[in-house]
Amino acid sequence: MLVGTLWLVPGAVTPLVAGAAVDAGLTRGDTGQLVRDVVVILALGLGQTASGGTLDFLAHGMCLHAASVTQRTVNGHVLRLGGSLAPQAEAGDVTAVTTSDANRIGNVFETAGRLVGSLVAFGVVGAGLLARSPLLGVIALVGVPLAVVGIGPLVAPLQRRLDDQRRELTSVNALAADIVAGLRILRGIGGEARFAARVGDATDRVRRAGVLVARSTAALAAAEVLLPGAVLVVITWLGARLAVAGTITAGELVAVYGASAFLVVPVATATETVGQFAAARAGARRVVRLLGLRPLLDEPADPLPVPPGCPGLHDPLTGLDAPGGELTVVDAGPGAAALAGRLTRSVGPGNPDDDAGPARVGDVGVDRVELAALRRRVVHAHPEDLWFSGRLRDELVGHGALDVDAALDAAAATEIVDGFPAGLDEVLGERGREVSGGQRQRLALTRVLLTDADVLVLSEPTSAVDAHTEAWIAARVAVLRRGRTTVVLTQGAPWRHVADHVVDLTRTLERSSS
Amino acid sequence: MTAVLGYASPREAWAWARGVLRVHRGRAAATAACFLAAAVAGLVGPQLLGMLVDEVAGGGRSTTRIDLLALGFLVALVVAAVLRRSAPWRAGVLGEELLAANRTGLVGRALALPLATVESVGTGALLSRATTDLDRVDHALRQGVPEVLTAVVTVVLTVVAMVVTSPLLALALLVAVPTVLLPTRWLWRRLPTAMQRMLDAWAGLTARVHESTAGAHTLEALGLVERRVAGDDAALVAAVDRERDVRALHVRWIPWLEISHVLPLAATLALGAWAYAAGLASLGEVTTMVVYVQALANPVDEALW
Repeated sequence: MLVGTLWLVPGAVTPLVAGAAVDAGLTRGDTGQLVRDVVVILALGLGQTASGGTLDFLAHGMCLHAASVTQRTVNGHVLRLGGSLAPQAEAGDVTAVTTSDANRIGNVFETAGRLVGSLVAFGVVGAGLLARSPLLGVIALVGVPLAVVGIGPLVAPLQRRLDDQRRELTSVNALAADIVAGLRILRGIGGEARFAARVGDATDRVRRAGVLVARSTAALAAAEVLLPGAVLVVITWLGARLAVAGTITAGELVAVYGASAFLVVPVATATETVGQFAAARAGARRVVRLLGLRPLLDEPADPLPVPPGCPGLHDPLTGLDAPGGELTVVDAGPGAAALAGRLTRSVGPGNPDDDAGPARVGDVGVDRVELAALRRRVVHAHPEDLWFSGRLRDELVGHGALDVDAALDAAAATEIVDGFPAGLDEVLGERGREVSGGQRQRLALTRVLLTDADVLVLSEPTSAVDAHTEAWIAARVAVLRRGRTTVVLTQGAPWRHVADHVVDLTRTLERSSS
Repeated sequence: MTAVLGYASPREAWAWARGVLRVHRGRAAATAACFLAAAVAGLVGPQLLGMLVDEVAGGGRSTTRIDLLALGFLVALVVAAVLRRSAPWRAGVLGEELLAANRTGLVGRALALPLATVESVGTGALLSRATTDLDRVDHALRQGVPEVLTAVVTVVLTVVAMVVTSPLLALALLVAVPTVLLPTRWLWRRLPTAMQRMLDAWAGLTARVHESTAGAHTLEALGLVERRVAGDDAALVAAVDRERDVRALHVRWIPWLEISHVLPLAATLALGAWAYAAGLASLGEVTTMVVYVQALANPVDEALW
């Protein structure tokens, strides 16, 4: 705050001193006074240099700190919500909060010092002006803020249009990314022309949004020249008349001109700060909303441990019984997602805490176990699971005794890794877009096998691979998981051949419903 | 096995830019003319102030000339405002058209690439070309070019106006030449790399965080939450560090820039006092020059940032 004051005040005083210098040195020929004034200007300049640098350094440090702490807090909180996040907030919105809103909050810290400096500088210049000429002082002190506030209404539409433009850009980029990612397939089916037309449309929308932005920007630029300029012209005109009348000196005319021109800086800074405060408050509200999100599943009042070893799974609603330490293959038809959600108490279709009573792991209800403890022992792999970008070696980390090569082999993913020039050191981009859907599924299966969980529930683990590969995977996974509890929800025949138990819930359901 | 997608050489890039400008020669010229005229109109104000000061200092008691000068001031202001509106507007419309053509062209060419090339280049490289690189060109043309262009034009014309007004007093500008040039050259040698690193770090962080949020369910199911949070935090710290690097460069450079605003002002006043006493410059000329020197500060900042 103090540094903020020091930043602008020297700049505020400079035109006043320059005016005095014009009077003293030039019209009166008082060389001594002139030299003193020049030295004062130099000193003011040095002061401004020092405080400007310090302010910049401190303010930016605070801004960065505030923004990064906000981002870290929000990111940690939402990620710990896990599956409870998606039903309550869009991923894109969350990213917008952790990036733009966090920065908006940080900006307040950056401009707070400048705001104080602006107010003080405004006061100093105002006093200086009033002392030289009350009339001109009043005009400047009223006119300049009016002019700056008059620019304000132009800023909001510009912001809105910039947002529109950014949105259009994002969508055209996403479209371009999709096309490039699917180029092989696209060329295969001959869909180029249609896609080129879609890109053309999207590009045209970007262009129109950009033209609107240009129009707003142009209007703003003109207003920034015109409005404060008009005040300045009035002041100069009146000042000149006063000077001719002998009320003020020529030097004072120069001082008044310079000071009025300078006034735009603190006033603009103040308005900008007010706008930033508003943006930061809106951002802070969104941050608070995210931080207020709670897990959708209740933790048990007095939790029980998951039974030791490799317990079985039991679902009272469907009557499914998957014995411990064995491979059970279930065809649950359309109820598969809900069944998996109940067995592993995951947020998703079919509220896991519903009426027929909770599923049991061993002889313990899944709702009686702490969620974190449950997740450590009972792992669910979903076909929609996301592949995270990064070095393969970092994404394929074993939690148990299992080694990466064995898991890769069981998931038929060894050849994928061997195909990369860098092998396990290959870096895959966002969501692993570089590899095909089937390859991604095999890598994801490797990843989940590596958890070496005591109880593993796999939903359609091989839906995107060919029948031959599916048979290979089923056979290897059965061997790899021997002695552990594994439930595979699938309609794929190869899994049935290697299962210890096969359960067909589609028939049970039909029977129970007829 | 991966082929590398070539970048255009600087010469090819210039040839491309020249070709584009040639196609739109008329409009590009009109836009440039608008920018020039706007800058010139902005320079009239200080001249009129100087005349006013001379009028006052000359002891003239007629207010008619003052009223006329003030009217001229107002006209110049309105003209400047109109041009200030027209210049970025024209530039925006033209720029958007070029960008749109560029984007459609790129996607069209990607769609027409031989499959063998697509296979060997790898989707990642193509992807970054189609999104990140294209975005950078967009951003540079939208944000950077118009502002820098306006600022440079303003600085050059202001200096020209100063030399025309009073070649003697314009010498005062020379004191700022070393304090602007040397630190700026120092900065520009280091800034592009630091800036690139910073932008990459932030872009990487955003992509990463977006992925984390989108995959929150997966993170919970596979027990990866804490590892991912730690990774995100580390990426954030890295991005903040890169930003601090850039800031450290700026903090060392800004004081020189600020000094460069003050030195010529003091020099103009001192030189002006001497020239006025020696009868080499009128009070109005000195005033005009002082205002010009102060007016240089903003565009110089903008052009160099």
